[in-house]
Amino acid sequence: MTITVAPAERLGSGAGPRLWQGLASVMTWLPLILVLGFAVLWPLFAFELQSFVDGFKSYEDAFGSPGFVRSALVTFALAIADVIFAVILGTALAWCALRTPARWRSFGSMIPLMPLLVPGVAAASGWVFLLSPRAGYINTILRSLFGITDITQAPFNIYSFWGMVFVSGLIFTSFIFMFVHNGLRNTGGEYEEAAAVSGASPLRSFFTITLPQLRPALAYGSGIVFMLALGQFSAPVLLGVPARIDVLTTRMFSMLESYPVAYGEVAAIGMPLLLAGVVVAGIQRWVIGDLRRYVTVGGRAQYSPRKPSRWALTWISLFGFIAVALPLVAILYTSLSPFWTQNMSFGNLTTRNFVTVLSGQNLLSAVRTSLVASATTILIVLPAGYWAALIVTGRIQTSWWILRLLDILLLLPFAIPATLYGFALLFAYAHPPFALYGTYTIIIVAYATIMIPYSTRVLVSALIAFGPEPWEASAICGAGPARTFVRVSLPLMRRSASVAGVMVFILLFQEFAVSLLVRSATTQVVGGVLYDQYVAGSYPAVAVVALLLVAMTAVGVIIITAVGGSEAIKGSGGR
Amino acid sequence: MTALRIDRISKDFGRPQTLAALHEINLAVDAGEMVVLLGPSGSGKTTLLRCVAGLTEPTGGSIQIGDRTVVDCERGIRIPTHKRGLGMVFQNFALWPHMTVRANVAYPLAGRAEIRDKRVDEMLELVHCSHLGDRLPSTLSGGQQQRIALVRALASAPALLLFDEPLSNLDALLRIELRAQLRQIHRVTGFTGLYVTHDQVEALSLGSRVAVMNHGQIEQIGPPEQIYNAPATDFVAEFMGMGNRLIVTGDGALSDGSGRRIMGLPARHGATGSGQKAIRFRPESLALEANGASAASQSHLVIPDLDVVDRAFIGEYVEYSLQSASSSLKARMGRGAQLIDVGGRVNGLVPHLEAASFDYAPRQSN
Amino acid sequence: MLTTLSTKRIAKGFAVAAVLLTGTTAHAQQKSWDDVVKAAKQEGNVVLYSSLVPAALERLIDSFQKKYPEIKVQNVRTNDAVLVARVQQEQSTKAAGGDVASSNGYDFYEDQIKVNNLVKPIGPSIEKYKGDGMPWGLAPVITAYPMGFGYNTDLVKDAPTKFEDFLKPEYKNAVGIIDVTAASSVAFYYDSLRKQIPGWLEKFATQNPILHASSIPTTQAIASGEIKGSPFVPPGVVKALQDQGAKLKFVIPDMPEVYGVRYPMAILANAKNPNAAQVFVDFVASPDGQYAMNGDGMGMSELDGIKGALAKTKIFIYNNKEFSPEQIKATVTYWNGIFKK
Repeated sequence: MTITVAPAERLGSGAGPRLWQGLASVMTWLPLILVLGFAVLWPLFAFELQSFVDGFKSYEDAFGSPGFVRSALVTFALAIADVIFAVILGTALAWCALRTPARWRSFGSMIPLMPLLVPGVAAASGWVFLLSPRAGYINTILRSLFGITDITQAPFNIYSFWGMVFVSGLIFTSFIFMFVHNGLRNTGGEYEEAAAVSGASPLRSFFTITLPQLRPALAYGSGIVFMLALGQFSAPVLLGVPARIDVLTTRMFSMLESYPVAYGEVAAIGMPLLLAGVVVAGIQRWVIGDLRRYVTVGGRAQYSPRKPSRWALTWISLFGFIAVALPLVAILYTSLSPFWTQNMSFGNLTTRNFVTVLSGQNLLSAVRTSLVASATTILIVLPAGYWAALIVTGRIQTSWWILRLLDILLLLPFAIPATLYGFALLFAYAHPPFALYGTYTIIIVAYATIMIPYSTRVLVSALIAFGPEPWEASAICGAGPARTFVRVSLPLMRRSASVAGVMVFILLFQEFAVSLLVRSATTQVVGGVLYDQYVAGSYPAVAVVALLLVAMTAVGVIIITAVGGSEAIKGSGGR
Repeated sequence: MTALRIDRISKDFGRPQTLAALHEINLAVDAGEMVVLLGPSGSGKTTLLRCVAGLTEPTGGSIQIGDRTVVDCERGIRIPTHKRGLGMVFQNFALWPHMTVRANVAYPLAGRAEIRDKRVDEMLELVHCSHLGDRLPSTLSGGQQQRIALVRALASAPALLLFDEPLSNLDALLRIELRAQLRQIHRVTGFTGLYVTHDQVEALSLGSRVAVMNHGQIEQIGPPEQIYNAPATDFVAEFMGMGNRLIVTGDGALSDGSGRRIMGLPARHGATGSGQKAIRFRPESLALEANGASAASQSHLVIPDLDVVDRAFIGEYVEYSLQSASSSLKARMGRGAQLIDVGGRVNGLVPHLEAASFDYAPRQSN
Repeated sequence: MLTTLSTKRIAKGFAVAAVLLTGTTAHAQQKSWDDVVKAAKQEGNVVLYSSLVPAALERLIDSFQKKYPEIKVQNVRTNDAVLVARVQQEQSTKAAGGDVASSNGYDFYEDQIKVNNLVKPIGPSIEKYKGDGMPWGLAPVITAYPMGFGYNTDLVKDAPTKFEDFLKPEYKNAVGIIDVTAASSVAFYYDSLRKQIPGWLEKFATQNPILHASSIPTTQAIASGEIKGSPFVPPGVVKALQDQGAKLKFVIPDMPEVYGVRYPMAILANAKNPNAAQVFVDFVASPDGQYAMNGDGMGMSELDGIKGALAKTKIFIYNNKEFSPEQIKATVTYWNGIFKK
């Protein structure tokens, strides 16, 4: 990912004329670099170093254990399949969103983003209720519709490789949708109009004109999705493990169950993920390199809407129904059932599960932890992200080397799979000298570390969009840094700050692996409670907690959006 | 032969109006003609063009290109854009940035590669851009891009060429140059064109006929000279440069409350009965002479007692701003004419043939 | 004069003194238990770590809260592996955590004893627990049960009675087991199965079983009809689901010795609420607590006369002394080799 913008001029790394001035100017970036560098690099370094503690023994143990090769292959196959799934579906949805009739346009561009509001574990639970081979609701209905009475004949089995691809693919589709939708909006409809007038059928126009225009958006988006898919945990742990299909992240997680935890071996298992992430990030940079080809050519780009199509809205609604409505309904129904059963009836519904789960001490403190941790994380990564954005866009001047370093520091949490990062953070901070095990602090530190790149990215886009003029004008009018910050920066950045806040909030509730790894018995977030219920509770209780997760995500988004302006969700795809 | 027939085309947008509506437009374009749609923004000219292109759907009426009906709202016929056999030049050029110049120009062409290549060469030669063949559009200047866009539209020898304000994004000198090129290419290839612009100079120089549009209707259509010299409505007159306007009643009495009269007003310009008329003329038609000089004239209108409030040197001419009670007028005098001081009082003289008059109904103020 | 003090008088003196002393001690003991209860109510909180069956925990905590409403129970229920890891993690990082712990792996307690982290319970109900019922003299066994077969009565006509029954074709793709890493006792179970019925695990793997993280979701999967049955099911979970109307039954395997679990319960020395911990353990060991834990078919009790408790079956449990960490690792590798190829 390239978020570095090279300004025309730059201070050299040499000092200013006086020591004091030099020191002051260094302080404009040094503290951030030091803190960020430590936060990002130290856990990774310390943790992966563990894999070399006994020479290569950890690697022998890890790679030699039965099923390792298979799980490594499954991991990469899953990531590739997810990317293909998400790119095809996400691009199709973006195309449809731009063809929805004007009245429905905001509806059409919001629906494909709704899967993001349903945390992955909640969605996976919903699909378990829907498509378990025997007891799944959809399977049961389909069998009775088609008169298949032999119960072993299940039309669909969610406990499978393709089940994982589907469930996590739906969320990745939303990501790709964001990038492509924005990319299409930026290019406007004129290129396609010119193609139509030149005699190209819609199909030819799409493949020869539209798709090539989308290459930067697709390259960037699929790179991100690939890295996220490599490190995914929610779908594999709920859908893959029961089918005895392991990916590298679930393998790492299962090693946490034994004591003492063989961190060396865990680190060794994680190493292929780390390497793959770094390589993909590098390739992505290289592919997006030649931007000349994608400079929008011509005068002032006027957004001309594309010709509306009646079908567009239908397809988008269908997606919304399948991706969001179905699992939510399944979860709701299960949460109201005394126990999970394929014999669906409405006579036995009860709210007992809600009473039991919601009045539990565990859950209440988990809700508190989730809210406190998320809110604190946002309060940390917004200013820190703004600071980093100022450096990246050149508003704060530093040397080329520092910019490169910052770029890498902001890239790593993207490229490193979250599960691996979770282990690294656990390893680095749980023991003395930090001894943060069981505190809110370790959760907040972990969250902040993995979320800074996202907030920085949004704020960089905003700064680039505004250009330096507002700040320059303020300076020319005689306002000092403080007054400029209050009267110019805050109001202008308010909306993008809330976009960043929404994004971080959603991602934190989607986050599962890190939350599980840095938790303790008394300090955990709601996702952890869901996992405990899944392991040793009842399925209806799982459903209740899943609903709670969705509700909390939705409410959080609404609040942050209200604070910052309603463009928050729509603007969150900003490149 | 009628190359394009627009028959009672209407467009009603219902709710949010990003583009202007159209009200039962009728227009016929002969083969080889270049008809210019001229009007301010919101007049509907672009909407009409896009209906012809098929990029916007009309809500009523029909359009025929050649002998094919491409859209007929009452009979439910709608041929999609890419099957209409058109060419179009866009305001923002719309050259595909990921394809070379040759690839852009070749895109509308079918057939074997050698034939295509030959045609592309021909086209590039036509606009003297043969050396740019392998370049990317982002490396070209605005003028070069628009020339390439033009020959891309021409490449497949379409039945009809559409132009959507193609010169608006170019600077003044370039515009002049490209206008000349466009005229030349039209002469050479004889294409049929429908051209949209808000610039009257462009319209006059490029169109074989000019249609002035306002609020979704064609107010007047005719050869450039006719539009220029004999505007049919007050709107057309003003749009074609007759910025000076005086409201008169009955026999020439000015309605501006000054009690003065225009002298030498021909009957045709006079108001009938109790009605009022708007007299319009161009700044360059208004000559100024010393106050109190000659009275009525057979060939001129005389507007007495104008105060000179400003004088600006424009280079080719000197522009005077004149005031009389509530009337503001502008006059342009050539470099050679004697300068008149600001603050002086003069008479204005307008040749009868250069004035146009229209019925005037004052707008009700609520 | 010495002769004035007759032996009789001295003996009498000693007798009186003895009576006074024991009376005082008994009274002192009674008084100090009241103090403990009072102090417990002041603490107001007790944190329980366990891998006990949730249905039993629910009954227990309900019952406890009725008697001691002032003491809130924070119930942290995980599987054994996580429980062990957490307690040891908390120890090594000196973090506050559990007050009372109950795991079915005896090695957990022995490790805690090594670092002096267990406290003897002193409540009155503890007296009845002796010998095997109070291992190391530190932790009363509060429940025990055999792991048996569970099956869905709507889907299965002939109840399984032997392990070999699960190899029948009707169970293909319709049976469940739990992950070997769920607890060291589970690894032991699989190892003993390997010895008792050679080849069974390999054949069972061809039935394509679904893997669950513990026996609790397995039992629920049986109730839902997702699987037809499983050989590793606790009676308490079955009972709780039956109460909800689920159609499933529990069967004790037809074998000379059945694998089972026994749950001691211990007080941790690094407890934040030591008095509440004492009160809680005492309650669990009392007849009321035992009825909650084991009554109505939930499990076997050390005490007699508990209404509905399972009849005492001969079970063998996980013996950590005869099952070293290396053997655990070897079993895990063996199991992975069969089920996670």
